[in-house]
Amino acid sequence: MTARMSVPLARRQLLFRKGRTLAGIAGISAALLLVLALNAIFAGINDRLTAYIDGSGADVIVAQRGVDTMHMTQSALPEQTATAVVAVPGVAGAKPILYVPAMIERGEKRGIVYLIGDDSGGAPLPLSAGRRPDAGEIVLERSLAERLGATPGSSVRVFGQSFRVSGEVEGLASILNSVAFVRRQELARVLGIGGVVSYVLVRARPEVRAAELAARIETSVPGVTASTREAFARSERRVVGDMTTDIVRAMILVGFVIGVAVAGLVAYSATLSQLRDYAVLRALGLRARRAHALATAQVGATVVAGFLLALAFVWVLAAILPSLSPTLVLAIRTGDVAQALSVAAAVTLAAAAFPVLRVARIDPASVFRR
Amino acid sequence: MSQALVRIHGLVKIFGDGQTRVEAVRGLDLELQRGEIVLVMGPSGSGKTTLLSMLGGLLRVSEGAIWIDGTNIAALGERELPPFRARTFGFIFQDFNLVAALSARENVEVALNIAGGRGPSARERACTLLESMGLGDRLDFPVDKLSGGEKQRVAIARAIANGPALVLADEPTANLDSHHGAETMRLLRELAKEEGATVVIVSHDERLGEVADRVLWLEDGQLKALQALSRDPVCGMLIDPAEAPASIEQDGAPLYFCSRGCRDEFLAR
Amino acid sequence: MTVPVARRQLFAEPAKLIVTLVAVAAAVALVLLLAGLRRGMGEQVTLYVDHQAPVLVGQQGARNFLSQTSVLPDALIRDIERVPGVAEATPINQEYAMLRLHERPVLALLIGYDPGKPGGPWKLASGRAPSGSAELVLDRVLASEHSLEIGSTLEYRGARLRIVGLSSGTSGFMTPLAFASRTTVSALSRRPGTANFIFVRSDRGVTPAALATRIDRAVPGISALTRREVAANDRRQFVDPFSGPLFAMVALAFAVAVLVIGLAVYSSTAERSREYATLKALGLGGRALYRLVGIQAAGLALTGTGLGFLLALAAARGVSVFAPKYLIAISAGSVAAVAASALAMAVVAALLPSHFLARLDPASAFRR
Repeated sequence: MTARMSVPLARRQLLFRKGRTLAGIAGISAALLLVLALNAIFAGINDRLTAYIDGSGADVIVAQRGVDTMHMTQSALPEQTATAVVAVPGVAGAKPILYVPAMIERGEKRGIVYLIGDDSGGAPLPLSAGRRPDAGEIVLERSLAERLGATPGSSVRVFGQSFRVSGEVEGLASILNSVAFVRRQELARVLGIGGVVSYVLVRARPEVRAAELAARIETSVPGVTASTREAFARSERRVVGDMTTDIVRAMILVGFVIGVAVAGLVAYSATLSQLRDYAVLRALGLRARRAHALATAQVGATVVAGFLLALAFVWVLAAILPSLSPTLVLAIRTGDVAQALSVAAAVTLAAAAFPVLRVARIDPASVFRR
Repeated sequence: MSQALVRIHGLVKIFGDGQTRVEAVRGLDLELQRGEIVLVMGPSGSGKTTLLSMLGGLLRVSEGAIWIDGTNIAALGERELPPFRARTFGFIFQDFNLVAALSARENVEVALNIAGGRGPSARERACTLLESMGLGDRLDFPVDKLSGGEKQRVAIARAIANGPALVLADEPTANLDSHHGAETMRLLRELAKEEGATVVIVSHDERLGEVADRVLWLEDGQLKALQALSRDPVCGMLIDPAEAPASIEQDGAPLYFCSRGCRDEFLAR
Repeated sequence: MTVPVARRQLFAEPAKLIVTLVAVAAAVALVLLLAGLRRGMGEQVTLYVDHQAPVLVGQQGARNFLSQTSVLPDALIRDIERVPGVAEATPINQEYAMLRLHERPVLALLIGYDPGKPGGPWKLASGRAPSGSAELVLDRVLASEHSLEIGSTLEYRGARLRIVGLSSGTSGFMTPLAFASRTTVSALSRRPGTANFIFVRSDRGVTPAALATRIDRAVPGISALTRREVAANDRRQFVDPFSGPLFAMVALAFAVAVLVIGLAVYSSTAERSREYATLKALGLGGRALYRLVGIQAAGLALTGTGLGFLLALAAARGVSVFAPKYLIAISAGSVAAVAASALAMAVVAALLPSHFLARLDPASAFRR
């Protein structure tokens, strides 16, 4: 019988025992949430990872030969590189920066940052408070400033020296790291590394394509690697992506196991309490395949509801978490949602085995038993 | 002579094997006419439910044939049975066996769906049937809010929704008070006489004998006509005279007893 | 009297029991493994420092070995050696190295040390220590992961480095170790004649803490700390950021376990409502009934947790064999916390079925 039934059997069965159905949805939602939340956390870190580069205004990033990342990376170029780069046709501007990990202290409190020595004080990234740093001054990321209790005007210590906080930036920090700006020459002096820069940020003239300019710079200037901003950002993201792949995979496995267990448990309990109904329907002429489809539909509906609930939950978390903890940023990517959906589909198929196998064993003659 | 709807020939049902072998039905032959009401009675464990299950295509026969309207259901495959059941049979159960998650109307409607009816026509027919049973104001009630009598009426409406040729009723009055029991009996009679369905009732309730055209006695897996049976005057048990353990003659008429104990007690009075 | 009833009820449906226990065990194992991974990361992060001399000298203000910049002119080495109580001062260059292996960026911790002096690999699985420039010793596990062996070369910051040895006991999830000569490393950073840190060994009878204070006072422009302090700072720096996410995962896992146990006990109870109604009608008191429910919940919680613990141990073992770069260090503290939460699980899970039993009408025993 291929005609659709006018009585929505699966829905009625699910709604008849609301409590159990809700518990099943909640459990499946939690299992899928494990996967969704973890992916969202890593995606959030990744997004913040490239926030500085994405907002730096650079079209091409020049680094020491063989280098195309910033985090956890060392790059050293002779100061003259900037001059050599400027001479390359198509370059509108070249800004050398220093990029070093540093510990910012205020009293007993401390925080790690990537300290960017930039004579333009971080331009063109917008400030959320105060002004760009002069000599002896520093611009902090807002979440770190709050944690250290360092408002503009107060002092912090870096490399044993005192710096006055002149301003704040926002949106550049993740749970793993933060960013701060000082003047480049000053930083070089403090570290005793005159004549060396980390990267050169290059702006391209409007008529030149970034990829072309990058290639040009590489051939013209010796000992450097020039990457377009996109390629650079991609490389940065890949570091975190590669490092977290195994963990994500493990979490998917766990989420799947728990999802199947919860969905199977709920479906099995539901089937047991519906055994009589199934037997009666079979006696009335319902085909075996239809009965299995009915059981599977109930599982499917529960899993879909659980998936939607998990998605809604992550979405809500992504909206409210940053206001509680500015660095805890969740990013929901389509690919991750699709991944969670396929986990949900796999859960449905696996968990449906529980009720289907039980329903298959029903003897229609049992309707006459007391 | 009207053609028989049901013809059972050499029906045997064996459960288990070896030490646990039980012959629930042995070598049963029976013919049922269209529009006939047959009441099957017998002691517990006599095989009444087994017979009903086999008649309804719910239990496989061990031997023999069951011809219903020209089709031997014993030979039908697993995939052909369900649609045949949906079209041909109507079941009425002692415990009503309504689907608790559905309303009264939906319980009737789902039977129509299973037989291939769908959409508004199925819903209409369900409503019409229930209204004719006097349940017009209970259509959307959840079944657990219905009384026993109302549940049985829903069950009967479900059983006849697809216009079945054969209605199989298992203790249809057992869970009803006398008023509703009588109601049910009337409905079954209507089914047979006005709709032309053949009704087979399995029951301990002797009152049903009043609407039945025939009363059969099933004991030890074999059928006997009830009229041929005698009743033990002491304990009231029905006995086959041919196999009575004890008997006497009184006023020219034979009296049969279930045991010598009952006969001795009778003689002592 | 109620104990066998509870047990019988649990075992009445073995499939349901197994599925419930699997769910609880998986949730518990997840928590232990995540916490263990976090702790293991912390331990791995201090791997290098833990093998060095007990006092560390860095640029003024330095309190960590990792995650910050420290530059010391080589001349300071002599100044430090002159401090009474100093037996040996070993300069070290250190940097996070983003190696390019098969077109992918792979993170390692590169140590530059003076060949022949302390600071290099403490155990070689094969090959030898670097002697000249452009020679590299790489962690064995990292090398095998990327099909590198002795004789392989890799490009790093424009230089070609040749692998001359593979070290063991140096693997890490984020910071596997690599070793080269100090001249090689400082040349790459264009900072010849500088070190990042100086590890100091003390004379007999001088405690590390005392020596650190002495050096701190005697030599200007530096900070001297004990190795222990530095390791603790590094560990905290690495591990703390993951507390939030870990807490979220733990909360989810707990919720799942409670739900599953609650559901299992509730559905068994609801399906036997007539039996319970009968027991109530026969006079069985509320307390005994709650105990029945509580024992089931507790049984499921404790067994599931026990199984989860075993599962976590087995998984940790499996990881150490098949993916040795991850270290899963399950602490006694986390086990105790999980065991305590098992009880909490049982209590919360028993609430709903208890509520159901309380509301159950004994007269329903007679209803059809």
